[in-house]
Amino acid sequence: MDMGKYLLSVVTAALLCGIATSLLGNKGALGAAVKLIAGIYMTLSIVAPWGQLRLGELADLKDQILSEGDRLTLSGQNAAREAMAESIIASTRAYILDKAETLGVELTVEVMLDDSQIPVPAGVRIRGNISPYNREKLSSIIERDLGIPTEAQIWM
Amino acid sequence: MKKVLLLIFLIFNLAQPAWAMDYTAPTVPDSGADLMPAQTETFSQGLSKVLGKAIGLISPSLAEAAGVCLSLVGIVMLHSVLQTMPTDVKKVISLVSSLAIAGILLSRTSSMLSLGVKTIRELSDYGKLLLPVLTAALAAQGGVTGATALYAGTAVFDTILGTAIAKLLIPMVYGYLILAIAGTATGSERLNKLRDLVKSFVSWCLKIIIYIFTGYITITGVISGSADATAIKVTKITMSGMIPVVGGILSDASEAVLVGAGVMKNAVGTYGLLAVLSVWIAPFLQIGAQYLLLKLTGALCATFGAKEPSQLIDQFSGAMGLLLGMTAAMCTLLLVSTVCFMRGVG
Repeated sequence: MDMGKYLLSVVTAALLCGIATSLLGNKGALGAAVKLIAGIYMTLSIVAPWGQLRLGELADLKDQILSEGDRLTLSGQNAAREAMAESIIASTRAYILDKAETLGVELTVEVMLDDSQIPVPAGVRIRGNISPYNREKLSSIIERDLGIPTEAQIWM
Repeated sequence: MKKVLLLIFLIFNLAQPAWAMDYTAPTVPDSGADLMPAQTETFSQGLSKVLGKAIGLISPSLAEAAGVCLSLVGIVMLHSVLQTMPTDVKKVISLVSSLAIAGILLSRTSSMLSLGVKTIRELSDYGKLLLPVLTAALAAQGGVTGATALYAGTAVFDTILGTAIAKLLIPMVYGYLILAIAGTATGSERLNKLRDLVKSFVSWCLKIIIYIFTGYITITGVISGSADATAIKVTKITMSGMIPVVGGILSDASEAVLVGAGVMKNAVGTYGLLAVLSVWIAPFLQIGAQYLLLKLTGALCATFGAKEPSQLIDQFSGAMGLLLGMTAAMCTLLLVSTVCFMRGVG
């Protein structure tokens, strides 16, 4: 429904009815008939176009907006998860390197996280020269403090 | 020393998420760029700067509006003088003076209506850019339920209000003016009643949309805010139940992300609030000044005993009032939703 056209038709009808009733409205039976016709015309011009109104478009718009809202929320969640993952990787790596340093070894550590919403360290890949004794010691620290089982620790 | 270095390293890495998530507010539209303060960190300071600049900008249009009002007073005075003369053409005098007033005011009102429509469209467009940023930032801060609900509510109401104003209410204001002119010129009671009906319908529409929006946003804010707060608490409890070291790492990372996202969201929100006000305030003051001047002119003209012309001027000021209501409604919608986004999880 074109609202501009609708309003124009209502205003035009109102003006025509106003003029007709002010010219002929006081003339006995004719006046009464003019008032009745003007009333019917006015009512029709106001009511009839609403029959063409389709509310389906509004429902489509609502669905579209809701899915857009979900998409934006998911992007925010993902950004937060990514930021958290970066921080967890950095902190876990720093923790392992600190423990390695106390053992007197220099290593390169790569941390893998799981896929849960709160990413948890799930595995490590460790490179560097380390004695079997220190390796076992560090491995058990990683398992105890960080919850990464020995089978998820790849030593290279 | 080693511990200090490790601490610096950890702080650097914990602070990193704040830089990894980059949320910036969309730049203020050109129409509000002149009023936008350079510093947007503090809302109250920014607001006083926006207001100060806006008042300076409306002075020229005030002088122009005052000139129009003076010419209206002149017409009404002439009308009153002619009415005192013994003549049979009093109805014609009334008709001519009504048409003269309408002629002067229609172009001015039309330009104000165009200004109002432009402002509403710009506010709506800016809202469409600002809301996604706030939604993503709120979701990053943990307000997952609230972000979707607030975005959906605001976007739906923004679309409904914007469409209603552009396609229904503005044409109805034109209809209202035509009925007002025709009613004053012909003295038809029916036209005057229809005119009043149109005016009531427009203001009723605006009120209903804003009431429903405010109700929705308040209820959604409370329900989803507490749901999100509970979800965050549950996550914290889960983390505290983990191995202390890894639990601590996760907890610190989560806290840093929440704080970082919150800081960015509030910065975006403050900028957004000032941008919305910068776009809205000058047209609002301009239309408001026109509204008040016409009200004053109508009251002044009524003292000359010219009932119809002063009523017509009042009806034009009524149209300005409706336009003020429309721009204020769109601005309120954006301000309220931005504040709700900023309040976030709670």
